[in-house]
Amino acid sequence: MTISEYGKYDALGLAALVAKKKVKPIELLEEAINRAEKLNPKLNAIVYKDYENARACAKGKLRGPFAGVPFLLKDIFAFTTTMPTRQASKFMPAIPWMHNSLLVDRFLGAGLVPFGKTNVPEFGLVATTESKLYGPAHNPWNLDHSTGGSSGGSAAAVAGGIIPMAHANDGGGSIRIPASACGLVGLKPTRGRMSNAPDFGEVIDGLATDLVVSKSVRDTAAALDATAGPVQGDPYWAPPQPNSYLEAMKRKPKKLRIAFATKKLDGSAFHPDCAAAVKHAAKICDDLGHEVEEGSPDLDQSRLIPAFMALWGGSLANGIDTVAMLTGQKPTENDFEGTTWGLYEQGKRLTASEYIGAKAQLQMAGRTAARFHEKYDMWISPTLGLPPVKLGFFDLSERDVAKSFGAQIDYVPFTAMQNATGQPAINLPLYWNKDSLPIGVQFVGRFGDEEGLLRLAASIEKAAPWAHRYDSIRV
Amino acid sequence: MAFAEYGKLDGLGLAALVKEKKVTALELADEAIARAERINPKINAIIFKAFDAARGSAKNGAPDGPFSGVPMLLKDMRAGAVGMPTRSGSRMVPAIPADHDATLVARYRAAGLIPLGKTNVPEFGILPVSESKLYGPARNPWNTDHTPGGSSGGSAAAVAAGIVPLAHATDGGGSIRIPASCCGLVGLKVSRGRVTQGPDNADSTAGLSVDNCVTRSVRDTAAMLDLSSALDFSDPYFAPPQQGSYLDGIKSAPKKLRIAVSTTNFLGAPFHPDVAEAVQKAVKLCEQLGHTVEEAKPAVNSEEMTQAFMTLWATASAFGIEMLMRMTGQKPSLDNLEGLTLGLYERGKAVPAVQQIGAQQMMYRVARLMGKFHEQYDLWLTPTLAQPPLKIGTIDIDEQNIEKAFAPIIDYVPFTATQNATGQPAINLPLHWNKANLPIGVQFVARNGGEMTLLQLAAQIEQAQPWFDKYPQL
Repeated sequence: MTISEYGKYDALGLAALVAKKKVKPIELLEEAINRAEKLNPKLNAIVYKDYENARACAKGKLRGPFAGVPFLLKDIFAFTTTMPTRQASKFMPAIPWMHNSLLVDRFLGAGLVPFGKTNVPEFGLVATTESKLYGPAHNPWNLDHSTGGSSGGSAAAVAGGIIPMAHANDGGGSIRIPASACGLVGLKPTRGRMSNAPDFGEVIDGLATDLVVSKSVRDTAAALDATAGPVQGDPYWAPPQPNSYLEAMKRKPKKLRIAFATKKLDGSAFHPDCAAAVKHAAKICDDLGHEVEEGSPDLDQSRLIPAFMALWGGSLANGIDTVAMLTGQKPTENDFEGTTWGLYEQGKRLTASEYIGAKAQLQMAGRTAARFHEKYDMWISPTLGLPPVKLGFFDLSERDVAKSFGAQIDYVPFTAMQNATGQPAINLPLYWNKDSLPIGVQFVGRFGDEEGLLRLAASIEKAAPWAHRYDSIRV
Repeated sequence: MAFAEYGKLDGLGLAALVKEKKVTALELADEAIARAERINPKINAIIFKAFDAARGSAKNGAPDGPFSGVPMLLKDMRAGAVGMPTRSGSRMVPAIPADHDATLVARYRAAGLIPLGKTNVPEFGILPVSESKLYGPARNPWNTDHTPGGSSGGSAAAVAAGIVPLAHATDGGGSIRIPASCCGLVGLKVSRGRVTQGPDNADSTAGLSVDNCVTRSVRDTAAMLDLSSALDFSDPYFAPPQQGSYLDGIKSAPKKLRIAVSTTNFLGAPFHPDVAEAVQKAVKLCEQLGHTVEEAKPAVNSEEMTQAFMTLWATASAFGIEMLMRMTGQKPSLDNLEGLTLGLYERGKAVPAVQQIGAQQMMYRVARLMGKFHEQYDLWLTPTLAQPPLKIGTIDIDEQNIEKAFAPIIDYVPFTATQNATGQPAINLPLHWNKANLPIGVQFVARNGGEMTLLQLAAQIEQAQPWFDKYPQL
């Protein structure tokens, strides 16, 4: 290969070149760094650069399915001993962690070469990637638009062609939303599939989990193979997983019963572009021989969203207070974005029994969703309620939680539900609107059924490929 | 048939008789009911009788399953069953019969089990004894001046007394293992997420509490777990995957195990001599069976853990009581709650969410520490209780100061709560009776998901030192 073809390969493709000795890991890394240096001033995807450690890593012994592939870690969790993790908050000291997260060790063990941290909104709270600390990440499809959030920097770096795959995590849609806005594959795994060792048992009461955003389905499958799996000391596990998602994905799915949403869960309409994307996805599934019909689970959003925000608020307050204690700082409103401070204050006021009640309500939503899946294997919804918004669309100085997060929920009306229920869900880039902006759809599977999702995703990728779309990006 | 044999058989043994048509399900139910009528006045184990419904089910022929026709009892916590109220031992809970079965109870019925009623518990299952204002104390069949333990004390007393061969139980701090220890039974606390609590509950007490049973034989516990542990995909999370049927699994001996044993509590205090003797006997047994045993104790900060644990119990109580207030319009007071419960409610309702989350994280840290501990040891052997079964009345349920109320409990129950915090499985085995002929149990703790190892070892020990024929003289 000539290095100019770098952008045509997915992560496994690059790893194959390395394995065949057609290219060296250090060459891949230098190409990624060149691209980062060229593109990042426009994208603001990368907020911390760690080129020297990465170079040492690329020159070292690399093994694993992604051996030699350059990589980026999100600035939320994925702690490392070499880079600070600040969650876009100036309240977080800019110091590396005392050890690697298990997830980071697993990424390293898979041969990936991390060379930086990617942009996020403060504490990953919102569906766009804008913060006072880092400034906004820009969408490679149109720099005026949001990348989505909270894994927006990762998605921008991948869609922008800096790297083929990047770490991401999702506590309310934060893998799937940027994957939708940037035209990528983004799988939120089942609760308990990914270990949060050694620093956490569960994150936000089991709402949040990690994986990647990628260009190809197989990269996501292989990343899941490389990083999934509990360890002793985890508080609970996901249902058993196949030996290899990458192998499992190659098998055609059986005939599936699939329901698709035609309106939001509260009955209101979503944007016509999103409706068109869902219709398009349903048609692809129908063409593939699946049974497709209109339908949505009976989830009461007006009750679930406040419960969801209660868990987020409580966890945020606990997190900020913990950092305050560890660093000797006293949190004040000037330290945070308005949205963060509003949620923090709400979280501080919350009582334990309100918190337990909120959790119980979300768990009952899991029971409701499971009943829906007695009838349907999959549920399709738009990932977003609108096309990717312009930067500045959300007022992050708004402290009134009902207002600030109300606007968020209108934009992301579906994704939080899977964090509540723990189900796996994947964004696929199947549709672009007339402004050439990607409009993703999400497929939701049964609890534990990443395999089903990946098999369907792989068959859709084959029937309606999107890889060529990335060629049209001009940053 | 004349039923001298009834008490000599475990649940599977009785089911075999039904299968061979040597006895009918109705005869078994009648025998259990006759025993209940005769024995229960002495032990107060059963607090709700559904005898007619049970006879009706038995007459209709129980479903064909591993326990077809076997009578059993359900604890007065969770385990909702059509026609039976579940009051969790509290006057505050209205005595309304359930209109649907809990998933677990439906599984029991599908396996052929016939629930005869509900068993005694302390209020909201909070205590390691089974004494409440609503029901009065359950009594230990081995000596009715003593407690059968708690909170599944009624279930354990009924099984130990020979009314039924097995009964449902739950464990949020030791509530399966403690009564199993006090009554000389097998009591397996399963891994977090192993047994569904659907459809009405999901992770009770912040994931501390799990459902299973108390039995006389190891194989009954294995078979009960086989029928209880199917995955319910509406649950919020799961235990590590089950490796095949437990009942099949216990036919094989465990591999040679590396076992740690603790001869003092976390703070270094020794146990009652009877308890120390029970532990030493268990060590010897394990060694004779070819396992390695060495003294070791995980570095759990027990004071911090107890604090966090109390926070989670207090907040869960407050949440439950607040829900009852909304549902029934009652205000919590000494008229509807015991002093101790009221104290716990007052404590719990004042706890902010951030402290709740902090307490949960504390539990997760203990789980990480235990994960490390089990890199070195397959099992951890401890006494189940630090003393022989308490005398009834030892714990003051009217004490509203919860530090005072719980002080005697913390020393009495040194280890069992740790497994609720970490989610690990642990089993009580009845390996020792003291001079007063009171049972003194020991518990084995396995890695998360390690029920098979526990049951294999338990079966091996049961064979080496059988306890089945030991019955109290009531």
